[in-house]
Amino acid sequence: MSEAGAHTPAEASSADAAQARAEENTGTQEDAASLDGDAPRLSVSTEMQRADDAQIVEPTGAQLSVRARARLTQLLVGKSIVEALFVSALAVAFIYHAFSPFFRGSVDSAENGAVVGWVVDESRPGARVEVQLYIDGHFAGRGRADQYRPDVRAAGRAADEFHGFKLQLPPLPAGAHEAHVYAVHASGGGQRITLQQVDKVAHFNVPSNEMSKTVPAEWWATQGQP
Amino acid sequence: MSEELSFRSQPTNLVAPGARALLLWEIASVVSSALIAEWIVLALTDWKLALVVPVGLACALMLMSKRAHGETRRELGLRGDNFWRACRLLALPMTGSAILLALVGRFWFGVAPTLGRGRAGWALLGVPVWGFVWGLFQQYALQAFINRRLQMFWGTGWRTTFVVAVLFALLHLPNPWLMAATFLGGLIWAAVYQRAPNLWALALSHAVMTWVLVSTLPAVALGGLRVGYKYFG
Repeated sequence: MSEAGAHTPAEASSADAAQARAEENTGTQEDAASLDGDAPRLSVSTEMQRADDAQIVEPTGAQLSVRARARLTQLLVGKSIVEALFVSALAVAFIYHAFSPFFRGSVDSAENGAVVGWVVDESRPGARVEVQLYIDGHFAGRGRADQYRPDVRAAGRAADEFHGFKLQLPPLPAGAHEAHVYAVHASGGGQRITLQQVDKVAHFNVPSNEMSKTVPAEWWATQGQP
Repeated sequence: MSEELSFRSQPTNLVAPGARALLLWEIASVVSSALIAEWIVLALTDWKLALVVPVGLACALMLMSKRAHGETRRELGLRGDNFWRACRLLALPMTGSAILLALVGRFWFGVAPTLGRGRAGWALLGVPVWGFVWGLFQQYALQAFINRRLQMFWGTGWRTTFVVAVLFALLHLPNPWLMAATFLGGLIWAAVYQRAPNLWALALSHAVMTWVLVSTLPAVALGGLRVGYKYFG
């Protein structure tokens, strides 16, 4: 049996199909071998094979006209495009909702035992944003940006003066530290919470004086999680 | 069983290369739609209506493809004349599978079979009724579409049966016990469909086996029959 690729027309001719079926019906070993290729043969006798042939339902509809094939190809391409656009739109919508692009804020200082700054949710200018403080990658406290900051309003960044925050630093060992302040954003009906960093990382030093303390190892274990 | 053991392959080598590639593309397209629904839509949104897009596109493709291939309802298996023959072919492997599931439940998980796993009244009927409707849809996609196109590509036989079962199991990732069960079911249903294409019998079998599955294995093992991203909670 010739390979499918040997057929010069776009699809195999019906004459070829008829010939193949005629060959198949003769029940010769040759036709069985060529049709089966290297597929597993579990039946051993020709009689059994003939019985099987009567039982196995051969699929029809493999032959497609050029027009039908072109239409099907267009459909598949169209479906792929629609699905790609759909998945992209879904991804953008997810990112838009899960990671709000509307937070604006600043970490002004991290000294004297506190991290000070402001944050505004421009999509809800009247709302007070919840913030979380992380020191050296460990949760160190939470608060609300609802403190008086007239300069923020004066700069045109907020509709009112109450968007400042002041988060107390925990006892820290002497040396260099990093403070990350995150705005808390809920989405998915409250099922999903994301943290978005406010401004840049604030670097600060705790000097070796009476203000600094050696932090017990338990602090990180007990305070290290929100 | 002897009927299934005597299964042999008949590659359809009368199809032009372009058409053969198209058959694989059709299968890949429907499988990808299912994976998009399971792994992307359900992961990125709680808006269940969004599932309409990939599922609707897959259904549209299957229907248009049916028309393009000139397949009749009878050829697809929506018929009654071979219902009992399909049931006869299904009976033995289904019984064997049910016993196997009961043994796995008993000796692996240490639970005895419970009818409907604690459900009562109408809820007890809910599993097979819903299983039939959902099973008919799944069997249409799996057998009347994927199996038939693989038969057009490779012919009937164990290779086609195996690939259908693998695809069916893959669509139930990452739920391990459900994957094992669907692989076994996929083998049985694909083999029976090739010998007696009857979707009503397969849907009935699907419903019964789903009911057997939830009655023999603990809900914890089955992960609430969840698949895709939702499996993780």
